[in-house]
Amino acid sequence: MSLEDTSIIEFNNVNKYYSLGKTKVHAVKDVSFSLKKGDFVSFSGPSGSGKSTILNMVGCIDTSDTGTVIIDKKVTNGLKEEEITKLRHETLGFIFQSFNLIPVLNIYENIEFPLLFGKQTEEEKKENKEWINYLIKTVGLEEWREHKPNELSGGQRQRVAVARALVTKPSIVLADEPTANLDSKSSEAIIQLMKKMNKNLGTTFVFSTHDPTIVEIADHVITLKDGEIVSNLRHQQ
Amino acid sequence: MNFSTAKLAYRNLKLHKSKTLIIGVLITLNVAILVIGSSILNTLNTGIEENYVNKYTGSIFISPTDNAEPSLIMPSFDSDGANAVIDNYSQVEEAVIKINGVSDTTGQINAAGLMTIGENGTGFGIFRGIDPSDYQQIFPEGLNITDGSFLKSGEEGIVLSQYVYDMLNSTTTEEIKVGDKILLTSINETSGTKVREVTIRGIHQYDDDSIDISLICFIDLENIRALNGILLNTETSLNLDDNEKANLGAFDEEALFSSESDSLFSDDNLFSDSSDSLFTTDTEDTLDISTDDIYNILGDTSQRDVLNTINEDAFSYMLIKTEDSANTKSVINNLNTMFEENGWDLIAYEWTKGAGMSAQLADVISIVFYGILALIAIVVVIVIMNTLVVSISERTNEIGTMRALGAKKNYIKNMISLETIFITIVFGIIGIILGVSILGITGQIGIQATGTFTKILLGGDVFIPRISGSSILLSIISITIVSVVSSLYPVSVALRISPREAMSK
Repeated sequence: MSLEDTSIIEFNNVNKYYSLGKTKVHAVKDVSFSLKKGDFVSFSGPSGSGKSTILNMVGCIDTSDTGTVIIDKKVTNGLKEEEITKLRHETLGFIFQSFNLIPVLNIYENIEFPLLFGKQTEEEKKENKEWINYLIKTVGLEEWREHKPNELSGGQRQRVAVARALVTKPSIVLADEPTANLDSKSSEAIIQLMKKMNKNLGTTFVFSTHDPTIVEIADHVITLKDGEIVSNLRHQQ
Repeated sequence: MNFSTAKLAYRNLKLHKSKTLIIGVLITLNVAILVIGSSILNTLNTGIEENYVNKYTGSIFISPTDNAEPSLIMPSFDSDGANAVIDNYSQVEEAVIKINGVSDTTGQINAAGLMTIGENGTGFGIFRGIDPSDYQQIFPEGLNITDGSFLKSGEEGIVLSQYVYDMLNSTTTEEIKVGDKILLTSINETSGTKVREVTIRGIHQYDDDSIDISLICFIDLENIRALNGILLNTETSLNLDDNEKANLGAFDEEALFSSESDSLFSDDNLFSDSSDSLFTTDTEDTLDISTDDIYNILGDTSQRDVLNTINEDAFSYMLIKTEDSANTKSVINNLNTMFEENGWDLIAYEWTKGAGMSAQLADVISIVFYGILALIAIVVVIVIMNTLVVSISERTNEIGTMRALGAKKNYIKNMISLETIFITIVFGIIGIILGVSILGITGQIGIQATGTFTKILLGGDVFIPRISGSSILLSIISITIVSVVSSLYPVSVALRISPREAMSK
């Protein structure tokens, strides 16, 4: 199988500009890369290097000004609002720096939440329930399933976020600084959890991070500086 | 929209208690004010309607089309200042009574004038010319005779109102008594000044203290027609043929009465010394003119006598009572269609059109009340809108997360709309309960009217507001509109939130 065949994310000569007052900022400069299905990928670099912008483009939250972005064999440039929402729902999972759990829902409901945006048959509902229970067990929050997010620690909340990101069985999970708001112990636990999920489910995890632990265990590390790729290294499996 | 959206909307409202409460209190107060105000207005309007329809106006009245300002209280004139009358009254009445829904009719003639009694007694009043038996049959509740008696059929005379009686009494040294004669003077632009002496037959008093109603005195038809100059002097009465009508136009005033020597009645022609003048000044000649000669000169005066006869088939208005007040509008439509088909220059109106100031005051109050409510509604919309926008901006991260996780814009719209609907339903019901409770308590004790004006408005000394279903329905409809309108902008703000908002925090 060639590299192209297993590629799940492709950036080809992508440029992105932002307006900052009267100044035009060239946030991503002619970036090209390809990520393999099932990889544990880290985008690292200092603040303002363009890693969050790239992650936003992968998540179809932003679009490139020039060049093409291909996600799961679909060119995202020029997709309609509804198609983007569908792609996000079916192909992508998100883990946010501030966890972003819905405060009025309990842990089970928070994890279940993305499933409510799609149609489910009775059979699928039953399967999904089992899947949610499996995820809750895997992230170690069985005793907390009826609790609200504000009753949980930061590490526990991020574990809920991981489970929520995986509930729709997406091909790609995007995590924007997932350990930035956690202590080192919780960070370690979360990274291990994500690595486990990556191995068990074959889901591609893409991070933007400063965390050296993530960079260390990543299969593929892309380092950015001033919107350009300065290194693109794949570790040998 | 599904159960989970509703659950989420409900929990969001619970989480943001203070904002929910601010919006809720506003909705509650708005609905309560609407229920109370609208019920009071309905009670007022129903009271005034019952009062007027049963005592003064009937449900419908018919007026000549050329009546410039139809009023069942004040005198009525056409655009030329002449009395506007229905001059084929019997024929019209016969046709009107056959219309489905009409239960009874009576005629009415209005006038206003001065009154003189004794040496110094003076006053003024509104004269209502009626057929006593017809009138008492259609308005049995309207008459409260305090002295003497009401007019009898065919009897000449006047029944003074207590107010007018007091006015006259205050200006004369001798007390006015039933049976006294009183001089009535009416001044009309076309028929001139008319004076009639009539007998005071009784004194009556209306419950209504309003000035226009309290001036009404009842008078027999012959006298009111004479005072108003309602005579048979119309072209229709004369039945002139085309030739006669053409001759009428052959002479103008200039030709007949100018001072030019060749005018018919010039001094030269009438009094010149020449032997052929009409009245020669030659005293030596004896005028040998008999009464017959004078009549011959004057010609046939029978036509003139006819012209000066009172038109006994003319009324200013026809008042109509309907079998069911709910059918008033359809009866009016049927009447107007019939007038059009018959080529009669008549028009049927609802009672309010001619009911005078008290009845119209209720309309003015309604307009002012609903105007104030509209302003309150605008303020409520702005406050709800503002509170929702603040609430949504606080939830930017949450909404952005939902969008990132795959929520369509429709889902967000439904969630915000459901939140508004929940608040509206819950606090709308509380508002209705509050309004109904206040009305219930007020209904038990009543609102005491303190001044004349309030008494007129409230239709008596104690006002007991009734809870009306239409007020509750109106409140529900208006608060639904308020909630929908106030959620439009916040929903549009929520829909503009991008998933990027979730990523950036």
